[in-house]
Amino acid sequence: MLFNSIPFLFLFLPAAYLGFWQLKKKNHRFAWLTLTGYIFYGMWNYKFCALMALSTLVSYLAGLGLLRWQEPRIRKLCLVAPITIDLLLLGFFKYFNFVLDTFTQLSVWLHAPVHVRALDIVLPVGISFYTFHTISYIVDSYRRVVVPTKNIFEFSCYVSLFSQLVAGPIVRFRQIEADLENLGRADRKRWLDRGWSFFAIGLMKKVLIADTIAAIIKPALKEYGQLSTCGAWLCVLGYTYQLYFDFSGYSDMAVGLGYLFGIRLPQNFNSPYKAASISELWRRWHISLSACLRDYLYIPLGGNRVPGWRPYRNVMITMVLGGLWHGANWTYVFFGGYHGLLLCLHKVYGGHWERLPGIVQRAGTFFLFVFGLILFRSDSFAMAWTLLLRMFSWRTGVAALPGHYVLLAMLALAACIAHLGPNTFEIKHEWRPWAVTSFAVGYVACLLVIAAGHASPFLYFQF
Amino acid sequence: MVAVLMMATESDAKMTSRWRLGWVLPCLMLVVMAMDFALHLAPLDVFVNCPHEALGQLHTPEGPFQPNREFHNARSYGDLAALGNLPQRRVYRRADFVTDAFGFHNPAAAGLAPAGILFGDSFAIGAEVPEQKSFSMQLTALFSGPIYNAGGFVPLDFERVRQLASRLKLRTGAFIYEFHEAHLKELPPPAAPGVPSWRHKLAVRVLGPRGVDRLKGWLSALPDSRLELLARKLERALENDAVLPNSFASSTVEGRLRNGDWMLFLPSRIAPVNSPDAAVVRWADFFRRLSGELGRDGLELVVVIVPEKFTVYAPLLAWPRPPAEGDVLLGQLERRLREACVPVVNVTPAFRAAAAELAERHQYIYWQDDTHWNECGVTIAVAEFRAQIGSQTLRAFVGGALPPAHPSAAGTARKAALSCNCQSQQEYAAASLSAP
Repeated sequence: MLFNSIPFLFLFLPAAYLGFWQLKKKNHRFAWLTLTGYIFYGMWNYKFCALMALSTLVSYLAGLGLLRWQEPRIRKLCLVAPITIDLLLLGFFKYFNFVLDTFTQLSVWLHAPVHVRALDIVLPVGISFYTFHTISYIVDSYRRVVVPTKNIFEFSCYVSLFSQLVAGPIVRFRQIEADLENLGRADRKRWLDRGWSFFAIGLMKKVLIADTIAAIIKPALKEYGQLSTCGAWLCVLGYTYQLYFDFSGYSDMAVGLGYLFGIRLPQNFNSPYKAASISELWRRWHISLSACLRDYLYIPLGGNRVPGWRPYRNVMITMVLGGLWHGANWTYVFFGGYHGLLLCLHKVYGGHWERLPGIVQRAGTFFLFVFGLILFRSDSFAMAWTLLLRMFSWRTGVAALPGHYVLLAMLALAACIAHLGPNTFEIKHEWRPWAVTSFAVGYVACLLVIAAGHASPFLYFQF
Repeated sequence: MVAVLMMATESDAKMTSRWRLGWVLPCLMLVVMAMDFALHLAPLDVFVNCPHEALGQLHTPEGPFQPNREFHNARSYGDLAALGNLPQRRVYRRADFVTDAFGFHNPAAAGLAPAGILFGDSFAIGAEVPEQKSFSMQLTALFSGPIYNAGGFVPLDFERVRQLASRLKLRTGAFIYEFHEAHLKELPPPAAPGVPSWRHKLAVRVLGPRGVDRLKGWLSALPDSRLELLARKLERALENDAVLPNSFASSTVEGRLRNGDWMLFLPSRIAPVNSPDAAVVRWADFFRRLSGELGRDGLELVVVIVPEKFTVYAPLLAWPRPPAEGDVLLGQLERRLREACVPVVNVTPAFRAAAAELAERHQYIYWQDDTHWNECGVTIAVAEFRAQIGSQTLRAFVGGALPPAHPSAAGTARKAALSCNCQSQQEYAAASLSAP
């Protein structure tokens, strides 16, 4: 089920909302949110609910173990065992065929071809996200950053909370622990307007901006070999804004839904296209993932407190694995590697970079990110290379881009919002009547687009 | 941008407590829901283009449509032009559609006992053909009594056929099975009906068979949101390749004939049949079995093989020209049926010849913007029926319902058909629109 779908908006959400606020006790609300989370998830493929339940149970038991036993060896076992199970599940479902395919290609390259048939594996939606939820909980419990909960309803509610279940933000237990503890005393009206405001902004970002851009560039990118230079630039820039408005729109909707149920989810995007350097951009883009990679990978590797070249190695490992987290494809690995390299260069030449005028820094950072997204968007290196060639060699329009005037208008609007406007967390969310009316008009427009059956899945669902 | 947002978010003393997003947006959703429910009271006819969309919901247990209903659309157009969102390819014409008490497309109740039943898909139903020129109506002229149009009955359920024959008081007669080439890609209906699930059994016990069908109809009609239909129309209007790219364009393939005219096709129908020999054997076996079963009930099976539009027009295409093997497969099916002594009429060769001849005059036997045949195509099919079936053995017609065989008609029927009724479809459409 998608947030931008009629069944969600007109059936699931009202039922979940009304049911939740009818219940008074904390545990009942936990149970209700768990149930709605499993229904929400089961609408894709109910069989994978068992997988999420297994992951939840293993992590919950590990938390209890960490609460009970203080002996370092047992605590380490409670840390390693559930993480291994989580990563094995993630590895099997997400990376098994990728490894197999790479092995086959390598054997062909070495002139000793071995053909192993790939398994017919269906990737469970959101597995990368809820696996990170459970891993972060176990590691934080091990580090004694959080006190593991004894309440299984609370923990299962944390893992399966439908607003952040399938595409994040990757919420850490400590970030919503207080709200979960106070769930029984939550006030329905306190966050109501703020929640709807976040949700409506997110919906409009997704449906009116991201999906409109996607409707124009998607068919053009299918025929990427036919693109002219202008067409290639328009498509790549279009994808840059589509990705931002799609994912930040989703995150805003998730935060808004959290508010409606009395839970404050953390910020996931902090105007990343305003960043003046690539390291700043990664502090602003998909913040929850960046923070997880920093806290659970980069810092344990030694971070930048190790001598010599090792900080660079740590950056590269973190970014390559971060790239691989997005999907089982070498283009994602190279996307991660490209950003790792940029971060290393920024570490070395950051001083020189900062002496450049602010606008040059911002524009430079933005276009470095845009070039990286070519790898991110491309299904193959051939596609990435062709797009780059089209962008940097003059080629007049072979195939016109239908709807290019609308695309230009949408890009202008998207650029104004992304580069100049405040982000959703910077807005007060107390709207004047005319602004409320504008929201209502925008919301109806979204409903019309959704009703027409044109709503598309969020880009980050595939990860 | 910032200033606008600051203006919009400044706290306003005059702001009423009701005019807040937390109140306005849920109310808006309630209003939308209420509007949609209210619009369900309006007939579906005004929101759709063709009869099967309007009358297909709430159908009877016996038939495919709502009983005793009429559908009229003064500006109907072809399904392919609609699918591909190609307004410039629409050929507007009048569509009239009347259903009988059983929910079948039978405009005039003759009151006579029928001489036979016509079974089949939308070609048999009479899609895109004037009421009085549909296949069943034109076949009626060949028989002593009317041919009852039971088109849309698919997939065939033998028990329902029996019930229908009994209601129509048809003890002996013809069972004409219109078999379109596209069905070669499907499996024939099973010999024995499937065992109903426990849920179905329970529902039948509680609601009765009619109640279950009515409930199913209501449930299937419920998602037919009128607002959704309006939103789709709006979306299609915007996706005109100027404002937004037409995402529906790939639903159809536009071919160019050697005479310079365009012709739309359905991509899935161009794709060849998987394991064609097995498909032919499966369907031939099915018809052999069906013929036996119908024979025990006093009904004589006649299979009318209708080719896919692409099979007919592929030889006339300038591009695209993928190989069309449909005629070979249909020929094989015809041969196997003849070997099994099942009366069969294969209109493919006649259609191909007629299509080639008429194309020179920019006239067609299938609509350019639709998957279906037109009046001219039906006329040729009926002429072929008369010419071919006379030379075969039809055993059990009441009072020799079928006219005497006309072996000489085999060559002349098509030519006779060609000389009449085959205006170019623009002329035909103009005439149909100007008709009262």
